Amino acid sequence: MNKILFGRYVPGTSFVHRMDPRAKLILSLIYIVAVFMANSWSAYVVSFIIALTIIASSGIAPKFFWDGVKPLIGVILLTVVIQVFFGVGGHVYWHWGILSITSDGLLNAVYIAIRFVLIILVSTVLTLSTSPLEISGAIESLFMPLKKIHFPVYEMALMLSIALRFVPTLIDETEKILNAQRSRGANFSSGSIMARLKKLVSILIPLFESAFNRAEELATAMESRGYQGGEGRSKYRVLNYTKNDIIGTIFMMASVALIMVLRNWS
Amino acid sequence: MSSSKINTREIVLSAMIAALYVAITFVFSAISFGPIQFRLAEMLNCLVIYDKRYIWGISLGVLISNMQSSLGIIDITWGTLTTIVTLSIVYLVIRKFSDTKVKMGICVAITTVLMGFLVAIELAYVLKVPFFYTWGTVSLGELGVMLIGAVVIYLLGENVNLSLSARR
Repeated sequence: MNKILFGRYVPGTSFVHRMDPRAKLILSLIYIVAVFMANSWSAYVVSFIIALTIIASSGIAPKFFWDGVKPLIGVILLTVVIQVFFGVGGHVYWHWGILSITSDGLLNAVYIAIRFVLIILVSTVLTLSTSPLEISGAIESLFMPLKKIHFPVYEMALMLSIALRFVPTLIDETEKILNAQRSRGANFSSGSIMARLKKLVSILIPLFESAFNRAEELATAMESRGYQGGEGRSKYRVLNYTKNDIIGTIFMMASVALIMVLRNWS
Repeated sequence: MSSSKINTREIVLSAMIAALYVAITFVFSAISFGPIQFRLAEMLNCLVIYDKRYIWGISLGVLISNMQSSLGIIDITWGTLTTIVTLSIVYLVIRKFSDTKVKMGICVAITTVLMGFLVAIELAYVLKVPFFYTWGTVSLGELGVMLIGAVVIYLLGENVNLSLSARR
């Protein structure tokens, strides 16, 4: 069950770890918007320093951040290549048919690559320092105002936490079924496409049946213990804004202000 | 669901579908992430033709799976909204039809075009990649997985009762 590091969460007690998940969620959104606003070298340098500061205060090894960037290197390179060859404006260095390399195209390519890496780094800080349970708690709390328009916030929060609880169980189950079928001679990587799809069905049938049965048992257990809906239920972990969140917010506001000044000044 | 009478069974079933989506995403993760979107769990989108209540579970599954994504919060919000919007539209269109195979075909067509369109907007905005090219490639990936999904979920539906009302 512990084979898969779910949600990439790295436990810790750093400054960022101890921040309220709601604050982290909102501040990383604000940072992403700010990075989109940046339009000059100086603004990008400032954004980069901010990202490094956040990473440093999360106390998480750089290796984990590299793991976040790695799967998207292909996309970044593709984007850079497209920008370099199809960009227009500025001094033309090379030209062939519809392809051309221009100074503006090169500059844009570099900007986009930097922006993309910065967004990944800061998003990664959020997912590395916040457990999925905390994120869902934050989503529940931030969605609370929607209660006014009859959005089922409690129900959604309960679904989220039940789902998170059963993810490892069902991952286990899937692997067990895969192995059970293999031990009976099933080979999932041979045969025509149609034959392979039918083999996939042989995994999904028991998987669905078992998931439905688990749901049935859990619902019966909840009803027999008198579950009456989420209204008025207390929580084991109560979210609270602390000093760290105030410091984090002030830091982010100052950073955004600086990026805005650089944007209009240059 | 917002009525005072809470249906525990419905909530738990949706949660279990969400967990199933995440589990399938992770077990078959080799082809789930990376430059070309090919997430096998996307085939669960086809479930919407059996019951509209699957929309909740699948959308939450997308939300949880995307907590793992490198684009983090952008993928969590946009990806989940994309799923809710697309599946709701699929449901609104298919309820006028009764034949399962026709429903499945419509589901594949709408998901391919619309999901690709909405994801392309996200990528074109964040990455500044050419919009129509991205729409094409994302939709192509989605078409592949949805075609697989249509066949697999259809065969599954022949063996397992996928209507949630029968489970209440």
